Amino acid sequence: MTKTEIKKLKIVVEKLTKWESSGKAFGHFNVLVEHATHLKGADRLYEFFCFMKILENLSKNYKIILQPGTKSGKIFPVAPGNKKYWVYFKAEHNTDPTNKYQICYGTKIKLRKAPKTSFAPDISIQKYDSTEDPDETMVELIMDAKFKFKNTDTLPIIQLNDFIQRVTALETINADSISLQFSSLLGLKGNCLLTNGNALNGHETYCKIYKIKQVEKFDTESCYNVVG
Amino acid sequence: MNLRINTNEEYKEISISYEIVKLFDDEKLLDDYIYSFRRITNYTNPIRHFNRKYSRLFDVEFDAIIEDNIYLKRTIVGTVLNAMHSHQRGFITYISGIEPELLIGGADLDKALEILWDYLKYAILEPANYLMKSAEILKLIVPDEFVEIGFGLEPHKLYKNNTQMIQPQVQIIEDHLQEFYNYYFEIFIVGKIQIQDDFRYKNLFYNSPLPIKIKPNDKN
Repeated sequence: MTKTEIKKLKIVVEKLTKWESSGKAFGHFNVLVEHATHLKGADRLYEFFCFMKILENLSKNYKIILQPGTKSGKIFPVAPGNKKYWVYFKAEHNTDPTNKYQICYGTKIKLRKAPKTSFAPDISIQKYDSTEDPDETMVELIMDAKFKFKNTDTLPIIQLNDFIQRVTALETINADSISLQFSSLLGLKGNCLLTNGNALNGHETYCKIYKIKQVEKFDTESCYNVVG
Repeated sequence: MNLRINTNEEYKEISISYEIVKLFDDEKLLDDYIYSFRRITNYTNPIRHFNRKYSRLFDVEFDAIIEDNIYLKRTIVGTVLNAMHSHQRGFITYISGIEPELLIGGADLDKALEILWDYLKYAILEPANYLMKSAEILKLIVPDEFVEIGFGLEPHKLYKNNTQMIQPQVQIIEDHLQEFYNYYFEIFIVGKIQIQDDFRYKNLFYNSPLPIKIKPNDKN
């Protein structure tokens, strides 16, 4: 490598490791070591990719309409946010006018009986008439995304337990029987824990009982596999 | 330059003579050699290590200037490590968990390069790939709104410097990602580091830690 190439390498690394618009660090952090950085929401690019994959698939059967947030316009939250401020999507079925939903990213959903407690699944499918301050009665299906530093890493049992707790609290145990119609991602109709890594073996029955699915190898290239 | 000291006389006599070894066509900038000189530990302000009128260079350092035979492996590690903004902090935390001796002294540069690549792959390149795929989908679904879409932290404070817009970032990735991979293939071939540096460098830097410019207050 020449001195000129070294200088170019420096520029390339400087460019790729920060956001062009804000100058803040770009990429994933906490996947490596928990709390390695104070950066909130630094690991959301995989989560957003999962959201986009779901949206893309639904767009085959639904008309997708962007719903701007009251404060942010067309900006998505990098950390769990109040629904009314941030952008989300509405999906209206191409042929069945009664089949329509909201598709939300990172929005907080409060518990009716404990309104100070809320959960913010990475992806939530909500009723079409869900309000700007939704509770569990307005949410139909939830998904969480877990990025693994090594794609050979496995979902730990604690993440399954945590997700089951969310599904129970948000009462989305019937997610697999709603009228939502995927195009090719048929196995994903349900409460899914999506990961670029591997599913935890031996817990298929546990997942079925508590109505969650582990979706492993969900990335840009691999063939994903559903467990549960 | 030759230095001759006669200590037998009543007084000390030091004579210095110079001869031109080589005329350079291009400017020789200290920045190009900061990872090849043993004395340099301040990578932000390396000139601080040259505040004496005369000082000694090791042979291999001298050759670095004359022959442009720099310590390439260390230069690559240092250049990348000091260009990656807050990811330097992420990398240090990561490396302290798996190979802490690299931070203390006697850094094995082959190992450091491999770990650095692993880090960049999972922390930067894969997320960049995810963002590009996400952008492709957004462009298809909401083509008119695509350029206005980004990420923000606080809805009431969405200024340019704290909003992460997707479209310009994807442009940066498209402009530079392939170039980065090209450098990677130049450094590694089938997973093996192909650079063979002058063996004298290994001796000179045998107890030297990774060349990191610590930025304690970097909040990016």
